[in-house]
Amino acid sequence: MVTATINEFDNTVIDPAVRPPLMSGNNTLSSITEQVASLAERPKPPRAWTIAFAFSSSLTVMLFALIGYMIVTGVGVWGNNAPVAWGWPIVNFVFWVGIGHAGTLISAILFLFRQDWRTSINRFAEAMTIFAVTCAGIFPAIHIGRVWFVYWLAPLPNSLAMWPNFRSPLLWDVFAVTAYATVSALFWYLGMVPDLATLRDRATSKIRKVAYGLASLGWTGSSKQWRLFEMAYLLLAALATPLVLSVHTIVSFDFAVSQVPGWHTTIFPPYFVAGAVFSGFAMVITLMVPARQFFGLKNLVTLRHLENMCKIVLATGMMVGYAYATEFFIAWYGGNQYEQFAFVNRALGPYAWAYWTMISCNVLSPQLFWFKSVRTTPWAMVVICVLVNVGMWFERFVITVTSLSRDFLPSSWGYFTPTLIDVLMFVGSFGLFFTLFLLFCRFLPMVAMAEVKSILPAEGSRQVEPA
Amino acid sequence: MSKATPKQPEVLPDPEIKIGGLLAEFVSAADVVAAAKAIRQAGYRNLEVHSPHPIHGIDEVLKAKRPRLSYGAIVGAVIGLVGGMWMAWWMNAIDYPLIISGKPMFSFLPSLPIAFELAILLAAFAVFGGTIAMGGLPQPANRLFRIPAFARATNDRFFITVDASDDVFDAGQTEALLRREGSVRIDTIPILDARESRLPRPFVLTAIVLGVLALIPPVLIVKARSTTSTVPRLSFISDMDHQPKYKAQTTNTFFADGRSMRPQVSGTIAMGDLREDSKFYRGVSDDSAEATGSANKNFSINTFFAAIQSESEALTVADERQKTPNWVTEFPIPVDESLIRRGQERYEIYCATCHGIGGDGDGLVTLRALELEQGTWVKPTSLHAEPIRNQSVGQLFNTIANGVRKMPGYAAQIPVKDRWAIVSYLRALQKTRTATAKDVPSDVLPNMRELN
Repeated sequence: MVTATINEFDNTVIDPAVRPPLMSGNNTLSSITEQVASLAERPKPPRAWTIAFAFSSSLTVMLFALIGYMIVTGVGVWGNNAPVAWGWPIVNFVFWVGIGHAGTLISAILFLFRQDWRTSINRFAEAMTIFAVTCAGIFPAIHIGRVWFVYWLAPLPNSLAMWPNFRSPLLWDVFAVTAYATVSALFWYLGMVPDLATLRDRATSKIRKVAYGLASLGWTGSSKQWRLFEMAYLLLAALATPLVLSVHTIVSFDFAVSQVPGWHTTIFPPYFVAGAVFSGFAMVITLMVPARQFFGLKNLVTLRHLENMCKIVLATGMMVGYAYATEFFIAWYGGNQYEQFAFVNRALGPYAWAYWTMISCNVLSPQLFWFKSVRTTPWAMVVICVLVNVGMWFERFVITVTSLSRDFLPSSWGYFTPTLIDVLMFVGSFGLFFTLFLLFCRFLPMVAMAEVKSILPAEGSRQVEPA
Repeated sequence: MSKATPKQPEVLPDPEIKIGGLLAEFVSAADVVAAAKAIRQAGYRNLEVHSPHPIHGIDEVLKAKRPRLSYGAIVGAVIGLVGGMWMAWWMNAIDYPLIISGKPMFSFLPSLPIAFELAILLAAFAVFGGTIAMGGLPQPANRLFRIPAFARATNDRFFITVDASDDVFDAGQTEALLRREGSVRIDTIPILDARESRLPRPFVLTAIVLGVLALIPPVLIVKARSTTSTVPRLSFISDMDHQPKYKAQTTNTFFADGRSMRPQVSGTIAMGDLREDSKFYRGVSDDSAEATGSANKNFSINTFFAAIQSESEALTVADERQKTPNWVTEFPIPVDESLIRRGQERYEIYCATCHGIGGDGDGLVTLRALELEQGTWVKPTSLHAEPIRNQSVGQLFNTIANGVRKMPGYAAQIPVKDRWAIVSYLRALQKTRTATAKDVPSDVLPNMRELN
């Protein structure tokens, strides 16, 4: 039995003979248009949006002020120092990139698996990807110190006649994250063109007509354009799938191709990718539950959607837990004393507090999703998913800092503490993320209207009418 | 009902006016597919279907060709992959080889991440660009947008457009056919004249302004790369340009003597400066140390500092040099052919300019000086002269290091072992003038006799 709220449509019953409906209520083409487009067309935003936007933009301003302070003063304002030369900035970078991967997975990988339920959430998730990658990209860009020389990262002809080092994973990162940001942006924008055309055709003010008109490029919805669109969507999904796997693999190479005990392990690529999907889906759920409540999208983003996402969180959480166990096993089985010490030190050393936070948040808390009641109760999902995100931040922290603070030579050991700037910049990055996200919710179509329309039962899709 | 314009009367074709075609509205996807099929069967070819979402089955009905986007993606991917590999190879192995901890200059696997990402990026560009271009986008001025009813094409209605350029087109008959097939509304598609299709003035102006502004950075870059500048480059944050440190030859108020460059602390010897073996380093035997204790000071590093402390001390130093030290008579290092060859090479670099190749004092500098000074130049002593032949190797060593009379000392240019090498070569040179048949090895002697 399911304990759902009275006005919550429950399509989470599992009956192999019946394909459950993906939407509730009587949805027609025009009702979907009206429901989603009106969210972007309100002349004055709701009060709650304004308050949230004021709060998040003040955090964003703080972030940029701190970045300015850091550029003028130097990277020493952070806690990074010998022996822990990589601290919060890289942890934040991997955290945000990981969150971004869920959006691409929903858009691309679920599309290739023909999971129609993705259509209600994919626009939302791809937007989250774009904004998460933006936040991620800030940290490597500013950590170089002399930010005005950031173009030195690129292989541009210069007066030194020098080129960057192609054997370094740090350069692979530059290419990977650039490619990921660009392809995700192209994918997101291309998918939005038909919906922007819808907003264009409904626009009443001149500014909106011009803005949406330019953005929609003159889309008319002809069969030729749809043919191209579908083919392009399929190709971009097929390209984005290896992209998302390779990008986080390359990010894991930052650690895996080094010699540091606890880092130099071949499990990192699949472990990081699974962890990225894990944290990304947790963030999607954390954002989606309040959004569907507040924006009235419960008929389009049903309990089944949330339940499916919780199942993915559970599955990837188990993969991450399995990876933790494998690391320990291989450290013991491999007989390398430094590796063995690294893992014992994680659990029992000075950072044990971080390690056990990570374990309880990542391995233990998602196990609650085995219970149907938990994975069909929205607020419970949010609590668990916030814990998952906390745990995943701590996972990157544990990997980075414990291995560096105690590596081969005991005389080099040291304890790392973050500075206030470290902490505030991380908080500020959340401000940037939410600012961009609130702007998206205000001005752009939050749900992929055209895709949702194409899975309406009346439109000849394989989905069934709601009961 | 959406917020679209209220129901407008249909604009039906006027036989007198030329039209672009007909626009028919349908209520559902099934209706429009059936209608499109029928219209195609009736012989029409110039028709298009517009819908708010992609309709399954429409491609077969319209007999449309699949777009060739995947070829573009493959081409992009290949270029990216090969280009990435080539970049890693040419930049790191050929043009500016970087030695990174013994890794191979080019290796396939480390170049793969970048090549792979570039492949995907270029393929994505090809797909995106191809979609936009092949879709005829951006196309802001479409005559269909002049028809208010068409706004529902992106909302909840389906449309068929039949172009007037179609062979079978006839305004009345086509309209009747469309209504028979279930159209709920027919509108006329106008023909846009050139003025109406043009981009509005503000857009053109903005585009021109932006285009010109976009040219400024490349122009500045080209200018910077191709011209010189009399002023240093702009530096926004200059902490590393003006470092609070003392440089050579500057003053320093911290020390009494005002110098930043500090002399060696007395009583210390710098690492590598302990020259204990006086036979090797100075050409004198140790037992002369007590006899001429202060004389040894002459040949130590501190001589320099002692000399600059006061002029009288400098004169004293010169005086003390007059006492004859105990020069070594044997070479302190083993002498073999390689040492003599080295000595020959060094002699010809440093000494032959004045002393001549043969040691006769007829080097090029001497000859030229004689010319210029018109005979008032004092030639270097011939190295074969008897006083020089009688000098011990230690004294010859000292002459090379510290000079004698007008010859400067070459201690700064010639390392210690090389000085001994030159001395060994000098002895060989001197031997060439004083050797007899007895000095020649027996296996070489017969050949020499034949020459004579």
